[in-house]
Amino acid sequence: MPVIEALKKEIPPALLAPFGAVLLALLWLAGSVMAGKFKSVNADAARLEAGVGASALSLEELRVLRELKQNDAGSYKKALRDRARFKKTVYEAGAALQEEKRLLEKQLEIITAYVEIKEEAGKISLMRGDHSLKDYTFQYSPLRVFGIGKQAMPASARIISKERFAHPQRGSVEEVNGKIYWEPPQAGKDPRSGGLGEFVIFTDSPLVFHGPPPKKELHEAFPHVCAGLTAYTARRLYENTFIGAKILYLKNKKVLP
Amino acid sequence: MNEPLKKTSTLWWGLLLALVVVRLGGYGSGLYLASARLQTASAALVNNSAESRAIAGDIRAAAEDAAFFGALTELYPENKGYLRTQKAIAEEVDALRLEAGRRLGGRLHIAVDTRANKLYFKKGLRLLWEADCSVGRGGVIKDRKTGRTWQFTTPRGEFKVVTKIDSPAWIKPDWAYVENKEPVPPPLDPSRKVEGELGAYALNIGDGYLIHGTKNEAALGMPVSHGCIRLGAQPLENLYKSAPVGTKVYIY
Repeated sequence: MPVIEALKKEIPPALLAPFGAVLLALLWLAGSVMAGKFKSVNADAARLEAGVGASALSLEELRVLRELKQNDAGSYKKALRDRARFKKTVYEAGAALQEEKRLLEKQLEIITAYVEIKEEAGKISLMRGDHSLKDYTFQYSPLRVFGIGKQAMPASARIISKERFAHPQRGSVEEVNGKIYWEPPQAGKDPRSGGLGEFVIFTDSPLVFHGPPPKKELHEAFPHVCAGLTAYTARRLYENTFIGAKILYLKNKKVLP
Repeated sequence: MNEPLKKTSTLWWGLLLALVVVRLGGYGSGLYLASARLQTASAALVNNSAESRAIAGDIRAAAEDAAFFGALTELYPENKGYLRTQKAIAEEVDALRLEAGRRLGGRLHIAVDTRANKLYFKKGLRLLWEADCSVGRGGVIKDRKTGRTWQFTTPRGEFKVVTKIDSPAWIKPDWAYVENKEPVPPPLDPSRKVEGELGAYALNIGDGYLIHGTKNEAALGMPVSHGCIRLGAQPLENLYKSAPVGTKVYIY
């Protein structure tokens, strides 16, 4: 060993023993310092491991808490979803019920509404079942005939058309060879447009409800049975009656003048 | 120094050195192991801490969610009398069903809601299907030349299917020309005939009114017609195939 050899050469043999003793003492001291450090580090590691154990425990608690909270939130979500579905069902059922109610009410209104002409009383009544909803007076009592000879006013008739600004030229739909030919009311060039006033109700009998005609001679030339309505009554009847509504004439088979 | 003493001395020195080195090595390796434990524990603690922070975040988020949903439940409109009202309406509907059922029987019929622009096809009280439709848009146009006036409303009341037409042609009425400010041709002029305008089918319900198709299905559900009832192609075909002549049509 060159170092040993060098030491042997540099250090006198008499000093070798003390040098060795000092070296051993220093090494012993270093060992003691290391032992101290080891104890300290070991204690730290033990403390830290205890801390890790506590932290693992705490972590486990946190995990459980997280699961609980997430379950809570999930439950809320599900409950809210169920609640929203319930509300939706209730809302839709309510809306459907109201839609059906409206439909049935309107259908029944159309089916049960009719007009009653009480000639002696000089009144036209809008009827629903046995109840008179509204009474209107009319001028010609008995009903007056224009443009046609004497004829019996039938006991009942039906409203077949309601027109504003109508004239006698009626609309029609015809199918010829599979094609539809539609002539709407007031087609053509009839100059008598609006000849019966603004609000006109045609029936399947000679009776026509209308307001004051703009031209007397035009009105009288048009063949019909007339009640002589005011503009207000003609408008109210027009607005409040339905196509297809029955008209009951209470003085049956009366021979009109 | 004699040789045996030198050997003995060297042995003792060697022994002492070995003892010191072993002691040093023992403490060194112990220190190394303790340091490794310390590092492992420290890393575990760091991991636990990071996971704790993440979990705390999750818990906070879940708690916020729960609080939000709780508040939302409170915000939800709650009319405690609503169900009572619904029950009352249901009873009224039962009474109406009884009355309507007696009058309508089990017959097929069509109902048109002109305010909602909906067409219902029913058999007695049973709704078979419903569809959006378009009814008269209202309003009036006047021909300044002749003084004629038209109102584009769908009349209300009870009608019935008079005829059914396959591939109907439309004969343009005078108002269509007046509306477009075009000269009105004579009544039988061939230029009045328009193919395809009314769709594939038409159901004539009398008094000049039809249930027919439309080229503008996007406008279904809105009152845009001139008085007729417009339907989409599919419901029109269904109606054409299902509603026989004589089927009643209630328009309200």
